[in-house]
Amino acid sequence: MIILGIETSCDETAAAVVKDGTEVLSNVVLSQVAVHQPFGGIVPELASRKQMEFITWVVHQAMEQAKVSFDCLDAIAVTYGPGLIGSLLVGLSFAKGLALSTGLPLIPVHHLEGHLFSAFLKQKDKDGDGFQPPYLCLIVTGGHTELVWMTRVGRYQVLGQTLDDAAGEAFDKGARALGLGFPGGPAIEKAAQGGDESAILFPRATLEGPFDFSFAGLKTSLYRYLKGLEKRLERKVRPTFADICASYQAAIVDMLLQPLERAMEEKEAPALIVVGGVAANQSLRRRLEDLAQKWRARLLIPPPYWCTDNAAMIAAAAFFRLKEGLSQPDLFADADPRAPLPSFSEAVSN
Amino acid sequence: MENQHKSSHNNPFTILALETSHEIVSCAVCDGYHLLSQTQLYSYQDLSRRLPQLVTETVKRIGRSLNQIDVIAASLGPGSFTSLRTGLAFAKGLAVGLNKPLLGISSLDALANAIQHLSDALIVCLYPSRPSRPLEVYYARYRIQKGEVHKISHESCEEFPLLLNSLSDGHWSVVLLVGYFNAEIADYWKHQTDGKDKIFVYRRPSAYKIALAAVRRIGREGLKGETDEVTPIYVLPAPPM
Repeated sequence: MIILGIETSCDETAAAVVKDGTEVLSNVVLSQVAVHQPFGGIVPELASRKQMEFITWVVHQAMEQAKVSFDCLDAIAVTYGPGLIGSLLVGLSFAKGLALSTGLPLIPVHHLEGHLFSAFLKQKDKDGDGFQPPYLCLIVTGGHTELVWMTRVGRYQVLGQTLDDAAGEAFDKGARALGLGFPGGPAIEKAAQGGDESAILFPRATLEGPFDFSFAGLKTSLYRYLKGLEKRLERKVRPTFADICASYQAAIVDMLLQPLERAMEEKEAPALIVVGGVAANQSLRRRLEDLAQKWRARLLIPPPYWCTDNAAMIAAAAFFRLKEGLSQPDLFADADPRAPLPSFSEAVSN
Repeated sequence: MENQHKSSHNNPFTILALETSHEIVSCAVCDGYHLLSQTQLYSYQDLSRRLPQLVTETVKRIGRSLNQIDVIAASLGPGSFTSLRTGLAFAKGLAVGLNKPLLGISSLDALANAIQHLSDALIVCLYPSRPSRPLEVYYARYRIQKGEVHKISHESCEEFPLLLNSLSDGHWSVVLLVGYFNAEIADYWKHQTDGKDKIFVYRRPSAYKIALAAVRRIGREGLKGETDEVTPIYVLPAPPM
């Protein structure tokens, strides 16, 4: 089954052709990072305008690189949410026009469900994991931080999520305060090289929900520290800039690891999936490897280029949903900027 | 030129047109200037959901299929950003899937093109822009000479009273305002004293008018599709620039 995926939920215009949910025939991603860099964050109206300019070219590229025509396709998959409404509508409307004129079924896909299936895309050097649930999944992007227990395709129990900012947002806002560029994740990671993680003890929030996350307090603490108000946090005399970045990064990684470890223990998870843009962070990856080893769990982290938003994951998710009979072709789907993960309702057994 | 114009009369292109610049969204199918079918609906924040059915119904009602369409024409506005993008992105998808050219038409041009029976006049096409600025209008100016419409200024944005003011010092014998208005603009128009020499014609851009403008353009320039990057006419910059 060959599926064309289209993804325009935020500031990336992406299209991909994927065979049987794992074999990527083409994967085209056009990032608008340069457009939004002067503003230190994504400007929604600007993002929608750029999506409009790029969408046709990106889809043509994906079809050309995969060397397929529309006759070879079995379905078109497109992100319907969550994301920026203006951006979502461009991809969704384009996909609808394409589906209507080619007669192909249109499969709307949830953006985060797409991220989950990026873990099963085949890489050059190694085979995929196959699909052997259950999986404990950590989704960490610029807009979302969620801990999900997946028992099968389409069955997701959200164990916990962020109460305020997303992990990627904490990186972006931290980077802005530190005078580093956008996007913040790679910028802080680079600036933190050679820094001492224990130079400053930024606070790690303790929350009521054992699997929830919170980054707002940490962010405020960094703002206050940079203003010279929180000297007491220093564990080292005159920390360097690299020390500050490394300490801030370590705090974010710690905040992610604590609920994850608790969930590993409770669910006795045999496998761990970590996806989303923040999963490209090397410091987080090292800590995750240690964690997986400690619990003897399989660890699935896609390579960095599949961690960020792409359309191959959308096509992959559509394939798995179609295979399980969970998705019907739907030309009437609406964009939903706050769509919850689509879990079909069985009594949740704990 | 004249020959091309005629040939498009004798063997007309079948055009599918979409107008999504305002809340009364429409879709039309035409053989050249000849309207075969037009459907409209009132849409508020549900355009993407309802567009496929709108198009399917318009085409099926006359017993045709999408494969018989030669050209797609879509409105470029100006108007509601999101609504225009939804319509244009849908039109782009249709054009790619059918492998047919896409023409983007200014909705103000479409309004001006529908006025023909005047000899020498200034036409100002306009309609309200943003709900937050009730007196502000999108407008463009056209000159009509011997039945031919010529655009003399690009799409812009102005407060209605200021626009009216700027029109009063011209040397035109006839000034025609074409478009639609909201309550605030209607109120202002009713109570202002000068400018009674101007005529306000209430018209909304429709898919059929978009198709007519497309046919004229094809007659004038031949059938040349837009580039992939074509975007709506925003007039206003994206915040926070």
